[in-house]
Amino acid sequence: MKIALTGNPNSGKTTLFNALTGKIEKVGNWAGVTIDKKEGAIKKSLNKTSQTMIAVDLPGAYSMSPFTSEETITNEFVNNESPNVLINIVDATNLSRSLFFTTQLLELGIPVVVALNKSDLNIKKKTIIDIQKLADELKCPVVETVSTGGSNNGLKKLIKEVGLVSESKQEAPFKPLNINMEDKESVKESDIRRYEFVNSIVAKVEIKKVRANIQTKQDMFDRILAHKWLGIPIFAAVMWMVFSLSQTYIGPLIADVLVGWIDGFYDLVEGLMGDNVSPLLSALLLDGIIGGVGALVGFLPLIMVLFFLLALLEDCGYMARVAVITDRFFKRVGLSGKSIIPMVIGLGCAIPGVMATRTIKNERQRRTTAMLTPFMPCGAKLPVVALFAGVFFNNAAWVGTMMYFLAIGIILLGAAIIVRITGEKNSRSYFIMELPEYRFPSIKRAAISMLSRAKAFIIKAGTIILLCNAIIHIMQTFNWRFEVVAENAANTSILASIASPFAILMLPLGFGVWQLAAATITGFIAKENVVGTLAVVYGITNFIDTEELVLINGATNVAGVMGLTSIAALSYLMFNLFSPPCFAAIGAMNAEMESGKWLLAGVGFQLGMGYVVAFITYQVGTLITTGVIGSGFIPGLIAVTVMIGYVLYLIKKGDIKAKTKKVIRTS
Amino acid sequence: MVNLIVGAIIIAIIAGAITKIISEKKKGTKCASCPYSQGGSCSRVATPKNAEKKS
Amino acid sequence: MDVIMNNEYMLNTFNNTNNPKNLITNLSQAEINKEYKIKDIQTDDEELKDFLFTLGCYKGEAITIISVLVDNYVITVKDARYSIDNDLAEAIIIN
Repeated sequence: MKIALTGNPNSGKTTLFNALTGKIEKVGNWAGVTIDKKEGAIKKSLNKTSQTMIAVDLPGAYSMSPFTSEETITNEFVNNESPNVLINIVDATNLSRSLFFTTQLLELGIPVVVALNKSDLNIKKKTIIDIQKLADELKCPVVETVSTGGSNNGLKKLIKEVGLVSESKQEAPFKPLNINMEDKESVKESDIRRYEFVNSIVAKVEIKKVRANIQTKQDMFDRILAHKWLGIPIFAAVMWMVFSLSQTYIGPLIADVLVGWIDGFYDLVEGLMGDNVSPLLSALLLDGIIGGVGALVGFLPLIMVLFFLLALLEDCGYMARVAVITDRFFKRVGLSGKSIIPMVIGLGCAIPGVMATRTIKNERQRRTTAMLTPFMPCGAKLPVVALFAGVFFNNAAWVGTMMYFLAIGIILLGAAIIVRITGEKNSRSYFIMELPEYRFPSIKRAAISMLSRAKAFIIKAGTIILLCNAIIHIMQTFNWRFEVVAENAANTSILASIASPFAILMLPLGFGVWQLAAATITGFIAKENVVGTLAVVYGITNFIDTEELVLINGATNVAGVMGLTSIAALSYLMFNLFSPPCFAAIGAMNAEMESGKWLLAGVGFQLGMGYVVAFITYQVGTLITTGVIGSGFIPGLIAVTVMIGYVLYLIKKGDIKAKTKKVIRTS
Repeated sequence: MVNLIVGAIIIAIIAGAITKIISEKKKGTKCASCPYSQGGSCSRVATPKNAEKKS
Repeated sequence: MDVIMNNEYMLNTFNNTNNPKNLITNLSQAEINKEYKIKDIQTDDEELKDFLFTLGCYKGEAITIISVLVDNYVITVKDARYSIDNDLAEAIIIN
């Protein structure tokens, strides 16, 4: 039996879905979190029937009117997949808007059960709803639910009602008369009468103590958090707190312990193997596999703390306010405040971030945001930042912070460039964002999110990263004739010969070394690989110290082994951060771009940006610190000039296009 | 002798990793480690194509 | 002199010194915390009009500005809060 969960955005569908099925789909307190349908079997503890019940979570919709483009997913699902029962999750705090959609669902002939969700909030607000009367008016069962609640959340009763109505046919309480579905005016008129019908129901069943159009405590919060001058500093402070807790304070503390264990394990295995093992196998197991993966897993606590804090942030309702605060800045570069949300999600992982751009209606804005979101350092890039901050900059906190601010700067610059190139700098779009109620973030949900993310990380480390490390290790141990490479002849290995051509391209950036080039390339499979590969390639398995998070025990050794100055290291870090993301993220971009041209342009833009940023950092930095310019200056300058020149040319073309558009508009 | 054991262990680890990756691919987890991708949520269902000028 | 001063235009202009704009036509000119009725949505963006409609934002419906945040207005329509930008506020005609 198929049961579809429908309802307004942010009414609690996905939370209910998770509670019904035991899954952990992403939730967040703003409209537009769920963008695709998800299926799952309802838990046996709730489903007392003998049939399997499959719940399908759908993205939120405000209506099913035929002329709005956004509700197609619900429409299509209902028409093509014939669900047996519809559960309409209605936000009890907003009956009058929600019931519009409800009455439309009731006309489909499929049995409907209304889940009156967020009823706990109503109790707080002292709003009383007569559910019996509501059920009579709507001609369908109404069950009070609190999808965020533990036990006693109304779910058992809900599923029981679902079972009861599944065989019956649904009667519609409101019958639209004489409407011609093709004629928009006629549909509009009918909808106005539908609203009148809804209003009459609400008047009969609802008693509100607090009128909606009066300022409340929540509005007071908004005035501070989204204040004209305080808003941005507060947002910056919140973000800084998230990063510093995960990278500097709590994260490293836990990481120390973990790293100690990894070190111990390494020694244990080394001891177990004894002296009779072939050095080849020993190296592969110890340095290639354990060392490479171990180096990475040491960073897991940082990532876990990050995800925990991000989950809290997404749960409390602040995100919508952030969109409001950043709207005026994004407007200047042709985007809107809505674009900030994918980027904040991208702080965890770029993939869900890119997917979140689906809620942006304007095509150009959506594509622009999708291409710029990966510039935000994701969880996978954290180990890279932490590694370099540790080795070259003594764990200074400013390194990480600078990367994030740089990311924002690059994003704004990128958006400005793109809007000029597409010739849309004069186009306008409206910004409207629903502001949900603030709520205290659930520690439990954040913890679940953190743990599931940690599990995913470990799986990734144990599979993809492990394989990559093993392959890299083998490739650097042997040359093309499958002989073991001599101690000092590392650059005759397979890996070196493949990576060297790329290394030459990177000379002007300060890191024209094949080991670093190899690490960057493996980074496209997974950004964590940069750390893994470096660990394997430099054989630095003991560089994880138990006192401080990373490096030491020769931090200078490592720096020396890598052959990089601090400036070059910074430049290398930036290149890895601001170039195209991992293939999986590029795949997500592809899904959102829906255009090969845009995808190519996006990846090209990311590559170019990484190159230019690294070039400038290295050359200017070297000039400042040593008084001479770095290696490969001229060829690098030529490359960079060509890239910038091309972009300027495109901008010019775009500006011309914009002018003609303007002329058409005014005439 | 020790070599054999170590070699076997290495092969086992690698085989395990490959198997895990293949089983993930089959389940449809396109985003290689995204925990939010149960049941193919990374794929598009239907898109409103004619959305313009709204944000 | 009397003829000039009694003229309606003159009376309106010189008596209402605090309110240079006699008429409040769109939402961006509205007072905070006062409930208005929507008269029309003035935009050639049909999709926007339809979307607003599904939120309950249509002719005859009550709308109130709760606060002004930065350049955005927090409005309430049918028990829900939304943040809209200045352009959109100017497009909502009220009476």
